[in-house]
Amino acid sequence: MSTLTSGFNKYKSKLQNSKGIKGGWDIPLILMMLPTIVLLAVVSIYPFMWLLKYVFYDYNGFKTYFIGLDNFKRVFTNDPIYWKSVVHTFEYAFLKLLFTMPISLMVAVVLNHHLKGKNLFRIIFFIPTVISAAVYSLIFYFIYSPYNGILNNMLMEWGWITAPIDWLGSSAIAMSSVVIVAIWGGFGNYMILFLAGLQSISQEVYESADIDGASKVQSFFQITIPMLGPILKVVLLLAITTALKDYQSIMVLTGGGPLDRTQVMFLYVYQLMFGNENSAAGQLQIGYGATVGLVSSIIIGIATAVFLKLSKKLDNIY
Amino acid sequence: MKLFKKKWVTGLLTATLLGTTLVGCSSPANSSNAPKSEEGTIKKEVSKEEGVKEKGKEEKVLVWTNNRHDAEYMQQVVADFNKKHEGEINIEFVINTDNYINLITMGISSNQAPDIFCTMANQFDLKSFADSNIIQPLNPYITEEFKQIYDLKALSYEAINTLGEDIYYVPTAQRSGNRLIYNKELFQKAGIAAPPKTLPELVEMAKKITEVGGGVQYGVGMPGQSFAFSRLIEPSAQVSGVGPYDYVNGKYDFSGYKPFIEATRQMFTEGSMIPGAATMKVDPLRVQFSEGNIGMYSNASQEVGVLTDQFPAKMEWGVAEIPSLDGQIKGALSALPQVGWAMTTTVKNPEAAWKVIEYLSSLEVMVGYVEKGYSLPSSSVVMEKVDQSKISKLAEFGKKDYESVYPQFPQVTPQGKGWKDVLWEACLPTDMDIDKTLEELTKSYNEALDAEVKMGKVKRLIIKDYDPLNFSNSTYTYLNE
Amino acid sequence: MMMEKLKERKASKLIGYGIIYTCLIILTLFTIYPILYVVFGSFKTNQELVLGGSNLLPTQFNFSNYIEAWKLANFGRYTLNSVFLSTMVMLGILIVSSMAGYCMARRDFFGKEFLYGLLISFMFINIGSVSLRPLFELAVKINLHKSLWGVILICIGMGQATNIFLVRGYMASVPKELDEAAAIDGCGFFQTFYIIILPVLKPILATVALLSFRGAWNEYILAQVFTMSNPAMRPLTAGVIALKSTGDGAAAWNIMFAGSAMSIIPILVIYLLASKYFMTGLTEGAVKG
Repeated sequence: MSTLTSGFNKYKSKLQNSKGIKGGWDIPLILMMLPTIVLLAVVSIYPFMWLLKYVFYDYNGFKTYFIGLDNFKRVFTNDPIYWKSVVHTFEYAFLKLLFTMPISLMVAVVLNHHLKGKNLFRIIFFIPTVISAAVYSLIFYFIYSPYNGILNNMLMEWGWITAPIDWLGSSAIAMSSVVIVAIWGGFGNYMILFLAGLQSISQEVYESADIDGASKVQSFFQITIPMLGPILKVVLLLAITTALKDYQSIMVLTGGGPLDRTQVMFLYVYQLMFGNENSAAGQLQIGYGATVGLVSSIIIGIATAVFLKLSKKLDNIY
Repeated sequence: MKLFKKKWVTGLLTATLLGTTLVGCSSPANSSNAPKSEEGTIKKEVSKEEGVKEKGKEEKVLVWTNNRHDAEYMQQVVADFNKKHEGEINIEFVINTDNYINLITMGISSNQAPDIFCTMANQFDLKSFADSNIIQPLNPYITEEFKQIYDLKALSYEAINTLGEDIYYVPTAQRSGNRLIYNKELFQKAGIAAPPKTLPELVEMAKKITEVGGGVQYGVGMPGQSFAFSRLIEPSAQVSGVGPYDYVNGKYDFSGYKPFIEATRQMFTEGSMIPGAATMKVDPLRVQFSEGNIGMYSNASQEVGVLTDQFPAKMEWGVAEIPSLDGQIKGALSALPQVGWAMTTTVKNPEAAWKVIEYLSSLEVMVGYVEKGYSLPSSSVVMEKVDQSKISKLAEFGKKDYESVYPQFPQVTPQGKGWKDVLWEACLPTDMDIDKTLEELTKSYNEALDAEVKMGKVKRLIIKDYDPLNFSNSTYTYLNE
Repeated sequence: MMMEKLKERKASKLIGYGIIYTCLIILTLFTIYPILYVVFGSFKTNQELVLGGSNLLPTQFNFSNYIEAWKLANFGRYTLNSVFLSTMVMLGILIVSSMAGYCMARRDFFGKEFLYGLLISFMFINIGSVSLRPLFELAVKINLHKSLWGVILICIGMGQATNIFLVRGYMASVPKELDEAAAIDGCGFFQTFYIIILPVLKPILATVALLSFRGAWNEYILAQVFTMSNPAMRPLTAGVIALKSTGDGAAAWNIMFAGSAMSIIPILVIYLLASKYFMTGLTEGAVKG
């Protein structure tokens, strides 16, 4: 055991001592960073600025009417649906991560070992991620169907439930139903990322741990997790951003209902900007949508900052 | 490592090859010289005089539609036209379903919009489209011959297809007003002789059907996720003389909806509504009806195609008029014009484009269209030519004398949800206070109306002599305050 | 003594494997059930599919759904378009993100943290489809609006942040000595990247490739807009999604299911090819030199 820790510490200190090579901009650096900077400016910053100017306007896609700070006034004083959606967004993201992260990490670790059939498992777990959200959400929509749905029928045949459950229509369970779909569609993705991260851990470390008599569980907590540190952080951050931005599948499953129980921030923004496909098409509210989008981005920005702070602390522990 | 590199090189090569083969055959770029204003809309383009047909050169007319259900017939019709007019006019017929209206506006700003496109009532805001110079009036092209098929006076609906004198598209088809569609066998089983005439009767019958249904069959169905409110409740309110807008005083008033919401809520609480209705999309509802599990639902004439071809009904079904609150018809049932062909401002050859519109609206095309059961015609001339035996079921949806196209009241966006969403949510079995909800809704809509009229966004519509059953002789007054 | 201990270990190992396999199988059932639902559903009639019920299997296998989906979604043509689009996006993202990720992990330069902050911020700001309009107008100005190239550039731009992020994160676990050794050997900055670092990044680049390929594969609104005057250039996803809209009647859900089932196959093949790289990581000897 002691060799293991000392061996690991040696490896880790190697990583930590390596600070970046100092220096300013030189030609190779400029050339290598240029595509990123140009693309960032054109594809991300430009449209954002374009959108930002509308926060002071009432804009229906054709005409603009200057309304000053009215949009902000509306978000902060007269929009209970939005603030509900903020809470739901975090609830959804938390529940989604709570399940996807451990599942995908475990699966990745298990499938990284020499295990019979691991390739088959890898393929199976990957399949959900190649089906577009619009399609797989529809599949679940049919599966969840409260009247004559296959899930309810199955559970009733097995005697697990006595009456059909309204998976998407009941306020009490709609969020859970939506999260289950999110887990199904998401964990394969993070499994792939974790698998890639695991490749950076030398097999020798495990071998020496094995010789030292460390159990699999021990080596998971004492080697895998710390060694995955950097990539774990990246994946976690990615997962958080994705979860906070998810809306497509909710749009298909519940449209934000019942009674806004599954309404999330970006679905709300989408409905303001593009109309609600499930109900009468009113005028588009692009200006207000931009405002809500901006406020949402700031909220998420704060959440990220908190996360980054916390993860810095985590770094110090290891 | 070498292997690794090589693979990328081959990958790159293949990709580049693929790229050249695929991209190489894209059509040559048209010069896009459309002048643009800040909002990406086109300034007035004088293209009518340009592009007069050169002799001997085939004119291409690009036609867009977002209808897929009639695709087979339309493609046949287009092929016939192209064969007949070879060397003169060639129709390119493109089906774009998703993002249709968005695509048209973007097409205009990039000079690749269609020459003509298929549209229907309320698909876009006519005034915005006209003001932004996306579409142009058809008045200069309409011929006497065309007028003999289509009675322009009767088919002009202010702010829907017409602005003042300018008519932007002539609807060739007319969706019927909604009807109550019912399962005859379930009615028999529950011992009900005739479909309901009043809303309370409907609630009663729904309960009876559910009682004899043994947990399999239910009285009524509404698709909570597909325009639920507009299917049965809104039409029933219409024929009872209740609507969202008080035309006489020029403001919103939702208070009249209370009994309709209460009736629907009662059907929910009594369990007469099919389980899961709150989150149902329309297709699952249709299938459950076609399987015989739903007693009643409501929709317009397109259900004929659905219940005969797409989800063939496994029992006998009937069509009845939408029940009103007390059996009296006090208001018009909304019936919307469909399948109109609008011409864009960027049309390359307006004469050729008009010829195509004329052909697509002609007796030859429309009679077949109606006989195929896609829709009812807007013209009685077409209807006369239709072989009635081919549309027996569709005929049951035939025009009623109290069907009409409602005057377009100002469309405003309140702070909060749209009225149909709010009213539908009030129908769900919750403890939401109906009076309070309606009051707040009226308030928020009138606030929005006042604000938007002030901004110059919309005009207040007042019809002093408003008659809920007849709109053709009303005087419209538009106010800026 | 030794033997007993070994036996004990073997037994606990067996139990461990038992648990692992049970968990994997439960997860597999959870994953595969909806997939089976699509696959079997794609053989049902529309009525049978939408009706529900407790039968996963169709009463009768309708292969005609596939024929129709193939025809309606213009499968042959659209698949090629999709492969082209996705390959280009993948290559673009690989190049851009590996370079930027490396630079950001290994160099300190003026404005780096700001740039990095911007990149992260835009990962959070989802204006996805909202940016369609300004981007399209921009593309019209530079005449990129009539081919898939505009779509490709936008997809690369939208996907780069995440991938730069991934590469940078992975670089943090690559020992610095590699670079240093290369520098001592006289390699320049770019040479070090190209000769030493790229091979080391193989596992993460395979992941980046896969994810970016898949991202582009699922993109359809952009592609639909950019090919509006040239529908033959559309990618497969646009074709499959369009199957569900039928205008006034009911949607052909079964045809869409058939289309979806078919559209999964090409990307699974790509995954199989790419997954070879997951197996081979640093262990292949990059650390040893």
